Amino acid sequence: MSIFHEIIRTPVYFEPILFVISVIAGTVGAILGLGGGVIIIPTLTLLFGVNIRYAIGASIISVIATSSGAAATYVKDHITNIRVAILLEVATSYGAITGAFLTSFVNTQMLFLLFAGILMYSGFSMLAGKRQDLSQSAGEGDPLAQKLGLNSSYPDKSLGREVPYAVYNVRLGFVLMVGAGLLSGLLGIGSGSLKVPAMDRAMRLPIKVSSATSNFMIGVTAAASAGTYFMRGDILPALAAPVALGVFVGSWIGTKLMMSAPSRQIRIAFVVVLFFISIQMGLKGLGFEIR
Amino acid sequence: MTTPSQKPSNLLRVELIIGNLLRWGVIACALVIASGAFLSVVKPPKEGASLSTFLANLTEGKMVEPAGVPSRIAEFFDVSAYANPYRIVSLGLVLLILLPIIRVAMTLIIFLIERDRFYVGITALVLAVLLFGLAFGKAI
Repeated sequence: MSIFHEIIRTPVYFEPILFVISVIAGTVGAILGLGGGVIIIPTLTLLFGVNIRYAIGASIISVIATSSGAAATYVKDHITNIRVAILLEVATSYGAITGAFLTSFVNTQMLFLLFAGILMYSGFSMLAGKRQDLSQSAGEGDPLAQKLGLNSSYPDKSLGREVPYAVYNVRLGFVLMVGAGLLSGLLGIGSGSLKVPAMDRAMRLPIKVSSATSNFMIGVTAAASAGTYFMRGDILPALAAPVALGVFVGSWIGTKLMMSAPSRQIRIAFVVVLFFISIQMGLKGLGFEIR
Repeated sequence: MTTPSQKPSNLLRVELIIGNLLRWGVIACALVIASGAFLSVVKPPKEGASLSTFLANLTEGKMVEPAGVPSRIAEFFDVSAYANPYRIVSLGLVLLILLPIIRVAMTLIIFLIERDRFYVGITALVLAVLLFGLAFGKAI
């Protein structure tokens, strides 16, 4: 254990720094539809030298806190599409449970590389979709979307008006969510980074709706496995408390920012983070653990 | 914030109810965790190692008391254990984990009230897998 870790892991540094970083994680997570684990885990393992199992436990808390904090605002402000969220959540949660069962049968390193590749592809795909935010014709959505009442509208503060949208490729979106759930169950990571591109590209939801709906969903998926981690003792109050409180504050800030930011900026920010996660996952796949 | 005019009014109502419930749930949870955290600073538990020792031991994956983490759910009902402020924080964390599940349950009830049979079924499916995960998570 290095001298640096010895010093920084004393209560007077540890708790405040972790709190501040959690505020940042919550802000970023709420804006982009992610859980913040991508910031929390490296912070705990690299900066503080904490064992990975407690970092993962804290990360799960971060995801649930971001989800709960952001969902409160987005649902009240009619940005989240609850029907899409619940419908897709069936796919993700059953996928995640199945994935968790299959962990022992699969080579996770290959999966990390696969995951990194998918994220990279999603990133470029989303960049190509930049033009979508500027053209606002909604169309009718696919017949299944109409039948299930998925088409809707949302108030966009940055545009100062309500934006109607239609949902496409419901079946494809569902299948993609099963995949996202499987990967997240197999690898023990959050799935927001896959949910948002799937909704954005395949189902053609506006980026703000994708982000808000993803935020609604990620907490549900995380809660399914959180019980296990808690009983195993991986969720420690001394770590999880500053994370939870910081993320609550951060996600509140994030929701305010997201609603008034232009969609294009959110999309670009998301792609940047996506590439960052992709590199992180790729390194894990190649054997460089962030222990 | 303008109310979307293209959304059916019952869906708008549903969203306001769920949104308010979520907000109160978050506030309640934050209060529990914050009070536990506050107490741990002003009135740290007398038994067990200090927070400094606890943090120092975190590399090896060893947990030193007083972590405040119970090993069985039944322990949450032991009132005397709450003298350890970390146990209060643990309670808040359990509340946090329950929030999304409560969220889905609320959504189910509201779809029931709205008589939206399809979405009642969908939400019930999600709730089922959530509860399954909670109950049998250890086996996974």
